[in-house]
Amino acid sequence: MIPPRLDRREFLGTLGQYAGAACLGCGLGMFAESAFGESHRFTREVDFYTQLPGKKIQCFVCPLHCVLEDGETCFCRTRTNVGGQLFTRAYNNPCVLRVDPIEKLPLNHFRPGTKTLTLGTGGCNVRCLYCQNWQQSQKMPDEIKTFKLSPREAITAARKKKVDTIAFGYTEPVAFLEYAKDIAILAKKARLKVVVATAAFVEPEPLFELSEYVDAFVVTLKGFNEEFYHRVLGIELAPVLTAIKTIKEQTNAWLELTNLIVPTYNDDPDEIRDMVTWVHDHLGDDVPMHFARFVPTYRLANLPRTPVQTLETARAIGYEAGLRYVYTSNIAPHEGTNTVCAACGTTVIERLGFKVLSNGLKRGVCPKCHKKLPGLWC
Amino acid sequence: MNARRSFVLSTSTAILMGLLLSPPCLRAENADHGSRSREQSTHEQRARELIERLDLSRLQARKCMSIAEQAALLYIEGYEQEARLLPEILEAYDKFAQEDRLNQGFSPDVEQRTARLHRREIVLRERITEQLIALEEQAGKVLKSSQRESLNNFSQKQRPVRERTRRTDARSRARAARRQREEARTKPLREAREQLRTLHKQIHPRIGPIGQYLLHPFGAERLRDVARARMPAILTEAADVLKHGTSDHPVGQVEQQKAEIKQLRAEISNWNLINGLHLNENQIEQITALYDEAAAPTWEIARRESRSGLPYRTLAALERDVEQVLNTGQHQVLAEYKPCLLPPKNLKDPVRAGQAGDSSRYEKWLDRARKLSSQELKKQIDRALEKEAKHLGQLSRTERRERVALLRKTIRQASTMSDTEFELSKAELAELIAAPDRTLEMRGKVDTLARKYGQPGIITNFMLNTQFMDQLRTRGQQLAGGIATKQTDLATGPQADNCDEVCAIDGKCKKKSKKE
Repeated sequence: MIPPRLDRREFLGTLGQYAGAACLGCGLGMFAESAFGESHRFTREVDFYTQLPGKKIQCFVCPLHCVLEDGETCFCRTRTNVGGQLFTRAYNNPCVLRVDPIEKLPLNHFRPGTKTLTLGTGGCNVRCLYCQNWQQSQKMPDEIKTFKLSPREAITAARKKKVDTIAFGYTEPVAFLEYAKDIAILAKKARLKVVVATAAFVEPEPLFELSEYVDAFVVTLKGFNEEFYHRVLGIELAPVLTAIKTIKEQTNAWLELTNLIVPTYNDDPDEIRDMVTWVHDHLGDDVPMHFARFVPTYRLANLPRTPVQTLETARAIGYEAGLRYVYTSNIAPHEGTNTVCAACGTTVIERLGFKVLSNGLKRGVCPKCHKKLPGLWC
Repeated sequence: MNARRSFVLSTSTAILMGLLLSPPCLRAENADHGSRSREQSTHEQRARELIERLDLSRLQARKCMSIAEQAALLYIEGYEQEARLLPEILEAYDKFAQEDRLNQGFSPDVEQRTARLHRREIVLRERITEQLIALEEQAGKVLKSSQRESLNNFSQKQRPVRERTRRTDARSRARAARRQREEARTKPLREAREQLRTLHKQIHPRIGPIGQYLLHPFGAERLRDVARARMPAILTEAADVLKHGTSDHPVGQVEQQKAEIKQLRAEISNWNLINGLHLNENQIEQITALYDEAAAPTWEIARRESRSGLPYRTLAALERDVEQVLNTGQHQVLAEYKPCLLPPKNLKDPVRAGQAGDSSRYEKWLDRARKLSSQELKKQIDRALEKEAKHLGQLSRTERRERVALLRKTIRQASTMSDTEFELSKAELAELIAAPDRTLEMRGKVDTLARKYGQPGIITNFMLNTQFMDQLRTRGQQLAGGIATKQTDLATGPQADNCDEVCAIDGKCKKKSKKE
């Protein structure tokens, strides 16, 4: 077909009409995109907050109890006041998504040698100067590369990857508690195990609500003095100890503790002794305790690594205090990564880093003395 | 990171081969560096042997001499540049060794400086070697094919052999028969060692006998005799530089620095292994006691047996004893260990509990490759294979075809995945395409066979020597001594942000005003 001939005036007129239409379309598209983007980002309301006059709100997920004006975001970088309602930015928005050995959490008495699908989002309510995942934890979820993953898709992914445990870690699960809880609920329905690796700076109620669906907690007890918690982590110790006791006393979840020893900051043997004594007295002697090696990073990049002797001393102090399972982490090969039966002293699980080299346990029972080791073994 | 890996790989393989192919007693002997004059006479002698074997014509000798003039320039350049670099290297390696001794990681500036200088050293050596190999090829063209063939079994390591009177008594006949039987029995081991040697030659090309003796300034006199020509000034000058050094860098000083660097390298490599093994006090005590108990007779026997070509029985027995002291994890570390200056990631910085960003090299590569167009992808694959060949050895044509097909298939699979799906699968995919380290595989095979035939293996090569034992004792003392820690004043160091001043990340504290 031959196109009709246009004179100059008609041509310019038509061109103007098309240009106008294109601009309008473009503008509408951008508007729609931004509107969708906002609504997509804030799909889940936070469970624990109260509304204050003047569209202000106060968050009660963690002990900071942030008070926010409209449009402001919590200290954890994930919860934003949108017109007097508190929404999470982390929902459906993980930035870390990995299939890892369960020992990497670190968990040594929970289904050893199995794998877990671990998720983490941007943001954290703790400001550790030595955070090893600071690129994710010290950013808002919108500021980093993330993957779109709904709770249902997370369960499907776990099934597809043939793992039967979902873990929340790498960054602080308290910062994405709503997302973690919704995944945990579905995971329970799908008969998957749920693990939470946390610094436990959380209010008892949200913690208790989440723990209904959790099979194991790994709590990082980062030190044992208030000043260290305040100056190096930006939070307080007391609520953490309360949370740990809550987990042990009021939930059925398995608990392991980990302590990263930062040279000259929290490696004082007396402080370590106080910590393990508290663990022994308040949580019992069966709670496994991991002492992890520090590697210079983030704002403490000028420090050396933790000397191996320090870790070995800490381990010895743990045993002296009466703890029965004390481990060393982040050094391999080291005998401190192996599980030794507390009753007869037989090495029952041999590890190289996070890899299980041999597992002599039969349903958690020592092959030599036939005593059951504490933990969840299958 | 890749550059650093390449340093580690190249040095490590070089040292590894040296260690694997020579027993410790010989290494100790080699460590005592010879004087220049000894080197000169050896070179002259070898050049003489070579020229005699080649039976060079006058014309050939003349052509070789003109090539030797070009080689002389390279030898002078190599000497001068190396001599300039050595003091810096010595200082950097010394600091690096001091930090390595403490096993508390490295300061970034010390680590970076060491890596940089090590790289410069390698680049210099590789460039000079490459050019000498090219000249060697040029000289090879001057020779007839029969002459080139006669070079095939002219081993560089072969030392001048003294003619011995052949003994024919019954005892020596029995000994010879025993040796033959032993050789027949251990044939698979010798073959495996040969394969390892070939693989190493592929990865690290070396100058052949022509470049090393015929074109070397120390061999020029003999060449001149055959050519019946005047000695070119450059050859005399090169011989003079290599013999006495330059005014800025006399040969004695350079040799001493080289020897110190060699010693430091060995020390660093040992520390890297000791740091990676994490031996406890008890293990250190046991190993050093076993060594002390066996040491004196071992070296005598080892030396005698190495001459006779029989297995080092005592060393092998000692190795079996030490093996019992080590645990499974430590055996695995030893099996994967390559002597190195800069420790590899698995020894220096293993993946930590709760660490998110630990993607492997292959995971990162796949992530990049899956987004490329088909043309860019071809280039990317070629580059990757070139790099692999440099570090892990050349692939045959079939192997290369198979590898390309595997890479293409995996990348295609990765590119059809969504970002989320890829994130979940990248570790598996990376494992699929990871190139096997053939040197390590072959070394494992050699070690297994050595074990089978009662010969010393990896433990002997890496651990059972005086220097390693001395360092192990030092580590034992460090462990026994404990460490004194002075606590940091938390008030003066960097402070974490906290909620005392800001409540919301983008606002001010409203709690205070509320309380007020």
